[in-house]
Amino acid sequence: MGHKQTIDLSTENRSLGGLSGQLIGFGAVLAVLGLIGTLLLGNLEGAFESHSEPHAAGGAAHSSDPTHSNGHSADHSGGDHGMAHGYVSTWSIWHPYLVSASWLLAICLGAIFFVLIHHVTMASWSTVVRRLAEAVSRNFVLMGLLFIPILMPGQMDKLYKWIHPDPGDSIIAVKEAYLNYDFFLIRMAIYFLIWIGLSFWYHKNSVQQDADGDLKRTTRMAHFSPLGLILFAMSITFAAYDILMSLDAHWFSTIFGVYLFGGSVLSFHAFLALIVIWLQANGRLTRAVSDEHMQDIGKMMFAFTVFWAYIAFSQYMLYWYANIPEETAWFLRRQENMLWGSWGWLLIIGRFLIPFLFIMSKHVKRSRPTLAVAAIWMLIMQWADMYYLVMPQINGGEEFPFTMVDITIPIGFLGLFLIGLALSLRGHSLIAEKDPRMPESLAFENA
Amino acid sequence: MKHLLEKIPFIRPEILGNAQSQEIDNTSYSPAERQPWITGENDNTTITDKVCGILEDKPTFGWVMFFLLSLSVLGLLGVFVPFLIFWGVGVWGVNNPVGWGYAIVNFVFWVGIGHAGTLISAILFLFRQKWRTSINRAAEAMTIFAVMCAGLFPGIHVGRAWFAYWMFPLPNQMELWPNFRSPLLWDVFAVGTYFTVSLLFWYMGMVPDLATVRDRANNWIRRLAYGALSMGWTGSNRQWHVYERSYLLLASLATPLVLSVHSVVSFDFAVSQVAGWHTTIFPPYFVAGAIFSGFAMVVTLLVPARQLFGLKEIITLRHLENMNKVIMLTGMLVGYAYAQEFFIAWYGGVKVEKFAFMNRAFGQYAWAYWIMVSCNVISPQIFWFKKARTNIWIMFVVSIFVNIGMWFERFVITVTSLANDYTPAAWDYYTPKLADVGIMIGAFGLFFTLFALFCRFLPFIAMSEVKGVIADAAHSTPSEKPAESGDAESAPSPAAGS
Repeated sequence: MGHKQTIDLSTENRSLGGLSGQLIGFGAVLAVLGLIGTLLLGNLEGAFESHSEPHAAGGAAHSSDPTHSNGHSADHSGGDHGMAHGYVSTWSIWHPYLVSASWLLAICLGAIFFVLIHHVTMASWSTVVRRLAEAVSRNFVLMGLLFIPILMPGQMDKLYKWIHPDPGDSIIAVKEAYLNYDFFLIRMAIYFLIWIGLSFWYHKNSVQQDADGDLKRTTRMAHFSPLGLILFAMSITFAAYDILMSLDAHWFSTIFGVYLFGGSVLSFHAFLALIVIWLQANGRLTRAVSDEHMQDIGKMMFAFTVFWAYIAFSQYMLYWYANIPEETAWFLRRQENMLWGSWGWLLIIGRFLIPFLFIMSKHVKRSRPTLAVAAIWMLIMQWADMYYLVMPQINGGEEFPFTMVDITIPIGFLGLFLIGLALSLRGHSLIAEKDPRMPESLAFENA
Repeated sequence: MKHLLEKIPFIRPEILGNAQSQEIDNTSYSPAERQPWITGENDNTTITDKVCGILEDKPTFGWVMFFLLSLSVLGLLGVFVPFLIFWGVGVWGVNNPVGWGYAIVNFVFWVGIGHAGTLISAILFLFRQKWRTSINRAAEAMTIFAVMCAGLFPGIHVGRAWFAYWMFPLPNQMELWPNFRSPLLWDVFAVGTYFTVSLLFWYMGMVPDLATVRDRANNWIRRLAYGALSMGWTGSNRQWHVYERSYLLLASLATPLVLSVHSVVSFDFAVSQVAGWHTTIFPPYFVAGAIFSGFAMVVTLLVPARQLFGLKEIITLRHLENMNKVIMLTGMLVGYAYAQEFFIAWYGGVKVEKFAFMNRAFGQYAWAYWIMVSCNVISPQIFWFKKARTNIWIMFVVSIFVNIGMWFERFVITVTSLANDYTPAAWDYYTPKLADVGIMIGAFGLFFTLFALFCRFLPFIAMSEVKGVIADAAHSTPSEKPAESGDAESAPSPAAGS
């Protein structure tokens, strides 16, 4: 290492400048398209009608009729509670909403993890792209805003059965101390406080170092990072339990938090690759972020593709092998009919096998077009994964709950996400200017 | 404190051999520059002299004592294994609900210890962590020996040890096959593959160093032995090129193995329906625990070894500090898994599961559970303080605690869930017998004996790689930093270069 000539940063175009307007404009177009599309197509498909759902006739505002729509899908878990279900099986527009919100939340979670792990390991390769990660993580504010509508009691009812469990549901009764509305709200507030706090604190220190070049900031950020990682680990775990796992309040899996973590880190690195490629296509950071750095981002994408598969396999295999009804119910819903079974295969092949083989080569990681294709694909797969976690209980998995809003909502949210990113990036340098390890990072080689 | 310690005969320099090399603190942290990994005034020659000296000079008194002690502990195996084979597994304390006693506990413990080596040599290599070069050789050796110890236990646990080869799916005229659906058979493949690849990786990395030893040999036995082992290595450009390519490839192939072995070991428990065993976090949790115990064992071995062989400038405080950080991280990962198991046991609402965990913490084996928690989760917390991370005595003690704690973790998992299983009428308390304890201690004897022999007969440090680290430091220092800051930090080493 260190044999390369260091690049003179001052010759590099490293502010967003006019691009910020471009990004905001593009984001706004996406957001408007998403909003109009959702309203229009959603209306056509009856997503907003409060008394007749698109696929099934059922009660809307309150818990659905327990006898309906679950049919013969053998997903009742356990024995002594008859037909009590831990999940809501009636579609509402809040389901695709939750899918998209979790999708983007995962990217933010990956971003704050990237920043923390950079500091705790005192890494240098990632210094050139750290500012971008800091900016992405600030979108937690947007995510917090997007999650507020879900937390309204009316919407919670449409998503989470444990708010109003079926009479005689002894399983949910056991965990009432944890799964109750007030405590849920408190926990969500704590998660977002942690995430927003961490992301703003790191961004603030990093940006201020651009001005004052104070080395103590680096030390301080490094010193706080282990504690930050502990807060991160606890919050992502319980957030995964609360937001996604409790959609079926009967089901449980100790690895579930790690599952969300794997996907989050993967999708953040994919997103990061896309930002860098976009910036460089517009003449920003063209030499500061070299092929070497791209290769490392690609390696992380590769590593976490495998990690995600490892965690997903661990969870599936152990439940499949032991074959205990209350544990397999969740997977049964996802594989006993053609539709969700294929979706599972889509994840195995599309989320693991294809990217695994595609991104293995060094040349694919170092070339911008191929890395961009991989990154876009991985982000789509992250969405497909979230869809797989949220949707299959709709109508007991009998019908494909897909509607056009499944496409328009993520487009709209992505638009908002890009606007948020532009607001975070603009006004500051795109690179941590006076980071003491910048020369080391600029000279980085995969030697 | 230091004064007092010097009065203990065992620590006195003349007994410890090269002990006069001084401790140089290269752990000071400054964001502006990196401290050197190798301290003192070392160059290629001094590195070669120091490392080859270990196996060329007369053995030190300390080494001889250590070797003899290990050998006599190994004798316990010689007593108790034939005893076991002659009388059968009845000499063990296993009873009806607890069919897996010390044997499986020791098996998992040793497989776990065997994880640090390949992690250090393969994963840290892929992460381009230069600090691995000073410790990888010893850690890999430790891995090989630990896996050998692990392999002992299934072999003697089969009862009729002369049929141990039935563990392998060998074609036979009786058409008898092991159960391919059993994770115990997967273990045979997983551990077997891991051992083979680790051994190859270790040996291949050693070839250039073996050639160095061969070139320095001053009698024909050494020349012949090391000549054969180094397979005609000349250090030509082409050889290095091929070597580095294949090292990278082997590292990439060994990396998934680090994760897979202990995942498969965790399947032994987790695929069952036994409460407390069947939980989805088991595979990554076991891997984290294995790395945790493996690193602890590396610290346990290297802290005395660097003292004994005068390697303080090669295995520096900063190397040890990094290992302690890994221990602290993995300790917390293990703690995370304990916490999630407990939480989900409650959250899941499954009564037996809840009972299993309450029983662990407050039942008849509560003592073992709390030993495990205090050793694994609480004791590494002292490493939040840099003073503790860089203090030889504290890290040595903590590493021992972690070894104890990780042994107890396997004990707690295995025994508590079996002793109080689904049939309360059959519940029983597991008490080990003499043969259990004897074989457990004997395995440590085997491990330390092999390690002692390794120290004397094979290059303890990956010399060629350490020289690369020195060369890198020499290349990058003058061009990037003002001269005074770079030299001033590494200079204060009056008694360096012993």
